[in-house]
Amino acid sequence: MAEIILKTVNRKTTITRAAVRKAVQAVFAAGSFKLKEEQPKKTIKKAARKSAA
Amino acid sequence: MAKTSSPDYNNSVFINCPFDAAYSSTLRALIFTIYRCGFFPLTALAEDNGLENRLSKIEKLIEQCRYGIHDISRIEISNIGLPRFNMPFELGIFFGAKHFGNKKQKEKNALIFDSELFRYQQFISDLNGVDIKAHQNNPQLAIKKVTEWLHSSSKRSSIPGYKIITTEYAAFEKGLPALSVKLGIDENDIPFNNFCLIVEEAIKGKVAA
Repeated sequence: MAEIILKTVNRKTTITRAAVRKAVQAVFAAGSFKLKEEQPKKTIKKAARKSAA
Repeated sequence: MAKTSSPDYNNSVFINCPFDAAYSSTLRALIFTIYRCGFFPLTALAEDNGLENRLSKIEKLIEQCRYGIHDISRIEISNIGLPRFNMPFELGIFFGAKHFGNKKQKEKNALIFDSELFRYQQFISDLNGVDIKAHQNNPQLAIKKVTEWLHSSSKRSSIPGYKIITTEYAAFEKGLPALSVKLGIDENDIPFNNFCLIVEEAIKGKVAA
């Protein structure tokens, strides 16, 4: 699947991008709007074996 | 970290819709969907130049956008006894740009919305034969129609299925009250540019990494 590139531009806003970024990270980091896909199980098992040894 | 790029003609979507409180949930869903599909939303609300008249702003925005979403569903008589003609008028400018414009403008593509299927034939019969979609005032249905339209008109395989976007939007909406508290803003009154900024930051991890 081809990647989507986020289109963005500096708009006239009353809040700063940095403040929004911080708030978004705080609210969505552990919430249901999880941004990153989970690792494949195989990789997790391999990593677990390695650390156990 | 997501890659970002400035919006150009082929990635810009002009939104021509009511800007009142009753429409805000649909407008927010449209903005989220457009970003999530890899496009960039533009409306007259984005411009803030007191020296430029409204019609000039709209003409400029239409010229900048290959795609347009035109919602002509707001035909009710207002509390002063008159209907609003802005949306059909701006749709007419979009049609005119496509018909009379240069090669680039002729590539324009539009999604025309009404709340009910075929109702438009009663108030704007010039559009008979044009494929108009009904969103039934349901933001989830609007997400589906916009996703399908952007997919078929742009032929981009990168656009996710509408069910993915609907699920993500529900999660985003759920987090919006907490986000508003953190930012010190009223979640029911977020200006267009601020809302776009919030969506841009919220979906960064969802798009190209």
